[in-house]
This record gives sequence, C-alpha cells and structure tokens, in this order.
Amino acid sequence: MSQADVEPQAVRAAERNEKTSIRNLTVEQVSNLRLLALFVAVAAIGALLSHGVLLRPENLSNILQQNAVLFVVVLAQFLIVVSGGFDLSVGAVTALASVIFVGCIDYGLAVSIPAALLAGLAVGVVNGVLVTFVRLPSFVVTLGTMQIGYSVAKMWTGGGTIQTGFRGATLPQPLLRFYSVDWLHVPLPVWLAIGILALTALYLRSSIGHFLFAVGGNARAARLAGIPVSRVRLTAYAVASLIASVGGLLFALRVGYGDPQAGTWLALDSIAAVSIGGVSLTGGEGSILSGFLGVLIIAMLDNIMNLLGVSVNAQPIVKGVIVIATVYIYSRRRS
Amino acid sequence: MTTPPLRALSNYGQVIAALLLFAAAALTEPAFLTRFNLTGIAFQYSVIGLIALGQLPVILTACIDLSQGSAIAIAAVVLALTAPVLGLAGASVLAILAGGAVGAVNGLLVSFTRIPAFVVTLGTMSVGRGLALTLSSGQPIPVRDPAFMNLVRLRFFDVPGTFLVFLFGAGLLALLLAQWPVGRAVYAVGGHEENARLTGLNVPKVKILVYVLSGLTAGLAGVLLTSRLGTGHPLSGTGYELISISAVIIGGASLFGGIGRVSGVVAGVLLLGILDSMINLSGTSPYLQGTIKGVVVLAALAFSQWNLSRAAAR
Repeated sequence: MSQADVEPQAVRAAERNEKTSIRNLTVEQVSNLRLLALFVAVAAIGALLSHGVLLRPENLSNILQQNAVLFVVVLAQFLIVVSGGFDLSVGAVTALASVIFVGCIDYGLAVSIPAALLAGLAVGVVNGVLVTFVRLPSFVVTLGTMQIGYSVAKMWTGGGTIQTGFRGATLPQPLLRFYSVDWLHVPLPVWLAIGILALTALYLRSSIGHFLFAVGGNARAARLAGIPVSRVRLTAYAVASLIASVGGLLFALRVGYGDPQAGTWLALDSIAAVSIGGVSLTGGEGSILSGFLGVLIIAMLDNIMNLLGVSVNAQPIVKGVIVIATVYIYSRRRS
Repeated sequence: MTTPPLRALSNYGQVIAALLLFAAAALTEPAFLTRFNLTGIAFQYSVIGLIALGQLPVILTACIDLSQGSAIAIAAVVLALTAPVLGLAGASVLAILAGGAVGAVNGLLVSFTRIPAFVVTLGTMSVGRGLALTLSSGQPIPVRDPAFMNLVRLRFFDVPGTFLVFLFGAGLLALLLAQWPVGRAVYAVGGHEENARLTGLNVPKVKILVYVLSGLTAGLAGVLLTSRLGTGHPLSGTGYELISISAVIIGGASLFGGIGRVSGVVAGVLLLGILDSMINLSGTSPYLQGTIKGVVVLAALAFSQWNLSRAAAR
C-alpha cells in the first residue's frame, strides 16, 4: 500500500493531527527543557564535586567514547518504546553481531559487516512478525529471541570470546584504531553514533517511520485513520535490530574481538536511558534526542561516581534510585 | 461448544505437555531416570519454581517483578552476614524477611505512584544488586555449618525436601488463589483494575501483598541457594527473574493479567527442568539450551494466544 492508497478522509485526519500537534510540540519542548535542566544540573554538580575534572575536554571525550555502543543501542530501544513495546533482545543482537562480524572476517569486511547486520535484521524481523501478526506481547517475544540470540552466539564461539574468523584472520589493524582516532576532537565511534542518530531521525521522517508515534499512541485509532499499522510496527522492529547490530560492530572494534556475553546489561540500561530521557513507556511520545541525553546523563553519573571514588559495588544503587526518581517526576508531571 | 476432553486439553495443555516430555525423556535417555539426575533437576528447579510461584500472582495483577534475582542475592548476603550473630535459624528468617522487604518497597511504589511496575522493579533490581554487593564488599561470604548445608540435602521417602517445599507451596498458593478473598481479588484486579476498584476492592493492598509474597519466595530461594553452596553470594540469582517469568508464561498466564493458574506454572517449571536435563544428557552443545528455551517460550505463548482467541470466539 502506498501513500496514494490512503483514503482522503484519513489524509485529512492526519492533517488535523498535524495541526493539533503544534500544541503538543510546545508541551514536548517544555519537557525537553526540563530534561536539559536535569542534564545541566548533573553536569554542574558533577563539575563542582570533581573540581572541574568532569568537564575537561579529554574526560568528556572519554565518556562519549566509552558509551558509544549504548548511544547506538538506545536509538533501537527508543523506536520500540515509542511503538508501545520493549526490546529485551538488543543486547543479544549486539553480542550476535559482534560474534558474526569477527567470525566472518576472513571473507573480508565486504562480507562480514553485511553478515553481522543481516543477522540483526533477521532477529528484528522475527520480533516484528511475532509482535505484529501473532500479536504476542513484545516483552516476552524479545525475551525469547534474546535467549535464542545469546545461545546462537555462544554455539558459534563455543562459549568464549572469538578473536579470529574460520581461517584465522583477525580484525585488520587499521580498524582497531577506530576507537583511538579523533576528528574535530570527537572520537570516531561517537561520529558513527551521531551518523546513526541522523539516519534514525530520517527514518522517523520517512513515509513509514513518521506513523510510528501515531501507532504507539493509539494503534486502534491509527488503524481507523488508515495507517498501515502492521507494516509500521514490523519495520520499526527490523530497523531497531539493525541499529542494535551496528552497536555490535562498534563493540567488536572497541575490544578487538567478538563476545557472546556482550551487552548483557544493554537491554536494561537502554530502557533506563530512554525513561530518564522522558520517553513515555506507554508509547507514542518522546523525542529521539532525549534518549541520547538520557544516555549522556547515565554516562556522566557513572563518570562522576568513578571520579569521586564511589565503590563499583554501590554504583547500581545510585543508578536504580535515579531511574525510579526521574520516572516518578515525569509521571507526576503528566498527571 | 468443545467436548470436555478437548477443553481439558486446552486447560491443562501444559501439564499434559510436561508429562509427555517426562515420558519421552525417560524412554530415550537411560540416564534420565537415575536418582542423581532427578535430584539435580529437582533442586535447581525447586528454587526456580518457588520464585515462579511468587511471580504468578504479580503477573495475575498485570504487573511484573524484575527484582526477584536481586532479592535472592540480598537474602543470601543477609543470611551469611547475620548467621554468626543470630544463629542460622534466626538469620534465615531475617533473610526471608529481607526478601519480603524488597517486595514491600516494590508494592508501595507500584501502588502509590504512577511509575510503571516494569520501571519500579527494574530500579529495585539495580538497587538490590548494589546493596547485596555493598553489604558483602563484592565477595562471597562462607556459611560453613554442616547442619545448615545439609538442610537442602534432606530427603523424605527419597524425595528431595526442596521439591516437597515447592509442591507444598504450589498447593498452598492454589488454595489461597481459589478460596481466600484476597486471592480472588488478585484475579479481579488483573482482569480489570478500574472495575475492581469500583466494586470496593482495596487495589493497593492486593498489589502490595502480591509483591511481598514474591519477595518472600525470593528470600526463601536465597536461603536455599546459600545452603546448597555453603556461601552467601552477592551475584546469586542473577537472571533468575527472567526464568521465573518464562515459567509463568509457559504455564499459560497472560502478561495482561487476570489469566493463569498454579498447575500451569508447576508444569512450566517442570517443562523447563526436563528440557534442561535432556539437553545436558544428550551431549549436544550446552549453549543450545537458550535456543530451545527461547523457542519453547515463544511456542507456549503462541499456543495460549491461540487458546485465548478461540475462547473469545466461543
């Protein structure tokens, strides 16, 4: 079905939506301002407590570089949360992609990169079909594909990490410097994350992607308005897993090997980042930049705790409290 | 109208599947029916079964508990730390109560704020793990008391005691859900929360109770794991919440609340245990487990979905 097939009434309804969304935009801008205020507050307090170390350029560059994988994966989670679901399989897709990327490296990058991305895409299509056509809850579907993804990655490597392809080739040396090269004082992996952010933003403006908010907000209304709900959802799951597999490539470039245990915390961290970013977990709302800011806030908190010498053991306590507290503040605002 | 045998098939599909799988395992794997093998499965899956029994009422109210694994760790660490002071019996009670306290925090937050249950328990999962790690300084704490370590090795008529505890817990929960007014309220709240509130049910009380119960089962699981290992480990129970959710889903419960039965959960736990053992005995890659379990979860879900849509069509 193309744009032309959508009934005129639906087009008019969509136009009306567009008009009323000007008002929503201001609400969204206000919430973005609050998020920005939170961000500035964390940065300021962190700078004070760490005697300015937090905001030193080399430290900031470190924070960004260390969290490049999460920056990419949060984009995937963002799409699924906006569509009204959760994606627990992002970490498994990351692990699987990192393993396949390294495992196929002796056929050259022209094979191993597409192979890794295709594996991710395949998981996404399975997720999408089960959620969309079999109508299973996304939480359980992605719980199932998460287990499958990790298990396939482990079978590939025999459980451990994987340094070489079938015939003993390793990742080419120039690629391993990917993480240590800066361009305009920003590390290359961060540029890649920004590039994926731009592509995701483009997807959200595409003929199929821009319906995602409507579908996540109220799928029934969207269907009645003539929006191809199933196609929108299926595409979102496919795109999300594709993005997560890019995270797997980044992971492999960072450490120099593929790891079937990579990204064990990515699913929960990305959901935490998305919720700190103020994206509604019931779907249909949120801006893509807020997910990015959410990661930045989590990353800065991690960094501040390290700078202050907070024990690694106590850090999950702070993180958990912050997630609950921010979502509490957002939920009060909505009511 | 479906005929009675067909209805039994759809109501007790998981139980029948578990029995069939058990028979298949017994026939194809000579090592399956040995005392050693059955004892191993019985212990591991009794622990998982206990928290699955705790997870069921939470899921029946359309909520979820992701903090069970961390509550297990807190209980394990509290037990190991306080045992020298309180003695093992007192420390075990305190450990179970510590699990219940995690549940109480979850229940209060879910009932009295608008934070989704998923986020609340995601947060307490992180906080709980951090607490267990901080209390223990990240190190496993030994509990070297032979009497305590023999606790999980007790047998009655050659049946492992932990398995009997699980079966007893299942019977008790089934009775409570069917007969106790609050048990009926659990189904009402999950079926339609607004209606339940309007009929005068105390919805916050129900939710707090189900979360406390879930925390208590996790506390008990933590005590059993500590007794088995001889150490209170701050990383024990990692990922257990996802296994317990899987068992409940395989057992035919709906994540949207109001639908699910104890017999299904027991069958779900046994199915996972038998599958686990079959994969181990068959000598294939142990990493195949995840794939098989994932496929079973998805298949069970598709089955119950088909069942529900058929019931709706009737």
